[in-house]
Formats: sequence, C-alpha cells, structure tokens
Amino acid sequence: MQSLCVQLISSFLHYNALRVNGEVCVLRRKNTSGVKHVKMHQHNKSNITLKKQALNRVWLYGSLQTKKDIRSGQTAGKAARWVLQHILRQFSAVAHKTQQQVEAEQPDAERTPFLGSHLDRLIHQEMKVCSDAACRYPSNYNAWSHRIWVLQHMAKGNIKVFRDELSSVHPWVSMHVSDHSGFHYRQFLLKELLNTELSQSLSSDSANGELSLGDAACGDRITTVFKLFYQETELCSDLIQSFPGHETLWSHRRHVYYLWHHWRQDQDICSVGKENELKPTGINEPGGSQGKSVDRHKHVSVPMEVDRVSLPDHDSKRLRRGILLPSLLTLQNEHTFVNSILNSCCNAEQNNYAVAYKKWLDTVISAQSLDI
Amino acid sequence: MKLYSLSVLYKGATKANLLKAAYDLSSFSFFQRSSVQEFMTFTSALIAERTSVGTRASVKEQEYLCHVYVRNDNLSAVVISDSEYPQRVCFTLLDKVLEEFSRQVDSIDWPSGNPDTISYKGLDIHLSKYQNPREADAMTKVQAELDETKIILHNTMESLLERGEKLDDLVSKSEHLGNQSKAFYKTVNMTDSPATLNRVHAAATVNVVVFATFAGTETELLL
Repeated sequence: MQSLCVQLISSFLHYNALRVNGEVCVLRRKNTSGVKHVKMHQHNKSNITLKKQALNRVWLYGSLQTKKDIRSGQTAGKAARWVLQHILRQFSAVAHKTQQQVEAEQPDAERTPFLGSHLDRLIHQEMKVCSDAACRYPSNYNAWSHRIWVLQHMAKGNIKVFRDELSSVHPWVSMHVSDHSGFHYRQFLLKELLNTELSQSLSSDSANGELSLGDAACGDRITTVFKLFYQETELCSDLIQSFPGHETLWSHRRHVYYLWHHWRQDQDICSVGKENELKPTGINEPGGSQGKSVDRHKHVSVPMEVDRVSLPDHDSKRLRRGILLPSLLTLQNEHTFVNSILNSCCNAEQNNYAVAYKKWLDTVISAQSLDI
Repeated sequence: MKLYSLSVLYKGATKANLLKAAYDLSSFSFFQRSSVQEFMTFTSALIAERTSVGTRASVKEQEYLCHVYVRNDNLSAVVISDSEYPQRVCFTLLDKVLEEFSRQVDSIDWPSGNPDTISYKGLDIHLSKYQNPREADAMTKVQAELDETKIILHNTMESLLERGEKLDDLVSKSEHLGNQSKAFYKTVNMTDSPATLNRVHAAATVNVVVFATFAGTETELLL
C-alpha cells in the first residue's frame, strides 16, 4: 500500500500546487495538466477510497476559496467529480461482487450495508465541503452545481437524503436571501422528490394487481407532495414578508408555483383516465382516500371558482390530519398574498417585485390554465 | 446576511469622537482583519461627521451598507452590514444601543471619551445577537415612529463629501488609520472612484505560502 503525501501549497492569487508522492505538479489557473498528472498517479493505486477523499477535499478547499479563482474552482470541481466517479465505480464493483457472493451463499453480506454507510458518509462530507465553499462567496455556482452533481450520481432515488438536504439548507437560505444558487438547489431537490414520488407511484401501480390498494398508497403520496409544496410556499412567503426587496425570493416563488401548477395539471391528465375506473368503487365512499381523490380532481379542474381565504392555523391542522387541501395553493390565494404585500409594504423594490409577480400570474399561469 | 461593525460616537462640532465599537470580522481573512477594522472605524466616523443632527441615513458602498442615526443630543451610532440585512432591523438596533448607552454612560463623558475610558459592555452582545435578525427582533412589530421614507439614502460614500473634498486626503489625514492601512490604500489603483472596503480587501491580500512536510504518513493540510 503506497502512502500518499498530500501537500497543498497555495498562493492566494496565482498557483495551486499539489505534491503527490514527492512530485510537485503546479497547477496554473488556466492549466489543467496538473489535474491530469494527479489522475494518472491515482490510476496506479489499488486501495483508493480514503486517500481520494483527502485529495478531494483538498482540491475543493484550495480552489473554491477565492472569488477570482473561478477557473480553478471549475477544475477542482471536475477533479473532485472524477475522483467520486472512480469511488462509485469501485463501490458498484464491490457491491456486484458481494451480490454474486451472496447468491453463491458466502458470508460477505455484511459488506453491503458497510458500503451503504460509507457512501452516506461520503455524501455527507461532500455536502459539508460544498456548504463551506458556498459560505465563502455569494452565489458560488461551482459549489452548488457540484452539490447537485453529487446527489444526482450518488443518491439516486434516495428520498431520505433529499429530505434531509431540504431541511439542512432551510436555515442557510433563510440567512442568505439574495443567494439565488441556494434557492435553485431547493428547486432541484423539490423536482427530484417529485420525480421519485412519481416513479414510485407508477411502479407500485404496475406492481399491484388490486386497484384499491394502489390508490390508497397513491393518496398518501399525493398528500406528501401537497405538504412539500405547502411548506415550500410557506417558507417563501415568510421570507418575502420578513426581508422585503429581494428578487431571488420572488423568483423562487415563481419556480415553486410553476412546478406545482404543472404537477397538478399532469395529475389531472392522468387522473381523468383513472376517474373512469374509480367511479364504480370510489364515489360512494365518504371518508376514504379514494373519495377524497375524486373530490380533489373535480376541485382542481376549476381553480378560479375556489373562493376560500386560507386560514393558516386551521388549514395546517387539517393538513396534519392528512386531509387534502388543494385550496391552499390556488391562483386565488396567490393573488391574495400579493395583494397583502402590496397593501402593507412601503419598500419600493418590494412593490415592484410584487406587481411583476402578479402580472406573471395573470399572463403565464392563467393562460396555461385555460388551455386545459 | 451579516453585521460587521457597531459603533457609538459623539458628534462634535468638527469631528466625531469614537466612544465604543464592536466588530465581527470572521468573514475576512486573518491577514486583512486589522486593516478592515481600521477602515470600518474611519468610515463610521466620517459618516457620523457628515450626517446632520436628528437624522437617520443609509450609505451604500458596493456590497456594504452603513446605517447611521445621529440623535438630537449628538450621540450617534453606526452599524455596517451587508446588502441582505434588513434596514429596518438595523435602525431598531441603533435606537436600542443609543438608549442603553445613554442610560449607562454619563453625558459628561461623551465629548472627550474614548474606547479605553468608556465602560459600556453591551455592544459585543448586541452585535452577536443581531447577526440573526429574526431572533433578535420581532419582525411583525410595526415601528410606529420609524418612517422609512425619512431615511436618507446615499448611493456612495462620495456623496457625503463636500465639493472639492477628496477621500484620499481624508484617508491620509485620518487618525483612525495606521500607516500600514494608509499604505495599502495608496497601492490600490485609484482612478475616479473612491477606495472602498473591497479595495482594501484586495490590497491587503498577502501571498500566503504554507509549507508542511509529511514524511511517509497520510495527512491532509487544509487551509
């Protein structure tokens, strides 16, 4: 086992240098040959994991520090991702071997959970590095896109990781309300959760022979999605009211509402087919989730007729009891929110953003609703 | 969303006298901190000097915002924040600090005091508490007496200066700035725009070369 000497010689402005096994490879700002040199060295190694982690972190710390070193940041990010891909391949190779061994009835099955936890730790470390880098300078695109890459490749379909990430960046975005990258990350997490929920519901539908069982689980998932959107909208409203005059927050609101709007439309389209199947069994059930789903679909298809003003405490209690409340996220309520901002705020920028959002609702969302 | 400095000054006839100050420079690199602190003191004093008695103002300088309140009794407070930090909370903080200060420190001591002679310990606590504006201040509370339209907004520090006055001259004459800070200021390429805290940031950057040798062991060095 070769030992790896890692030295970081860093001068703030010009050079990042890495000393690998006694050889110094100097990386100039726009020169990626140093990275390749490192890669070649790594290729020769048999036991890689921990050393790669060290290498990984060193790169990210060294290069994502200064605002001016954007190119180094990109190179560092690429190097880090190369390292991670290598680790992933290693993991999947071992997992595959383990799989085969398990099938051959050999007692190495405990390695898979070990690998799983190892992967979790890796992910966790990467998240930590990214969030440190994100704090160093605002809208650190490299750090956030690396963070997204890590999740896409190392945590596919892992709902727990996405949810944990959502709650861990919650305080961060609350303290960095004009950092668009942070909110973009939240949008990414939302989309991933939606897709995962969607794919799970599709797979369970096809797997389950009995329709009623599938629909109950489906109802749960729909509630989950509602909760997600509701909470995200609440966060957005809270921040908009507490910190007037930040365009990022309004832009985030647009993204979230747009996502919600389209998801709802997709549900409508899918459910129209389902409704016909449900009719014989669903409509007569008063309290079951099936009855509620049918109700919801009817509700959603005529959004403009809903005329309920949301009472947060009352409605959130009902949400907690698992009752579906599409009325919380209607166009009507969005308008109510915007109007309340316009009436209460004297910050000129806030007013402008609110007016722009109102226009967007009228032109983009209403127009699309009419197309249904 | 950050607060960098909080200071209490007495606005005299010709200049502002620093009475007490607190700083949070953790986001600046170690080697820059002393210069940054001096420039923040310099800026706070300049702003207090150039703001009329009985007014509130916000001075914007790139990504920094300096909020000042000069009371009718000439006691003033300045807070330097970033552009995310809500303005309203800053002025709440300034009001609070001045109120507390005037209760604890005798007005006799204001015209001639300095940070060593004044015994007021609240600034550090307030600065640290207000780093999170929502915890420190009930955002739903409506400040009846604070009318946002009455706060003067300056878009640059230059707009505080008299006609013909140059920031360069003020810097070189300032007693708040040490020689090193003045030297850094001069090395920055000065065109028409005044030096900002940002430029100090850039000028004070030192090439840091860190060597560490590890013989045969795996270790990480993280800067």
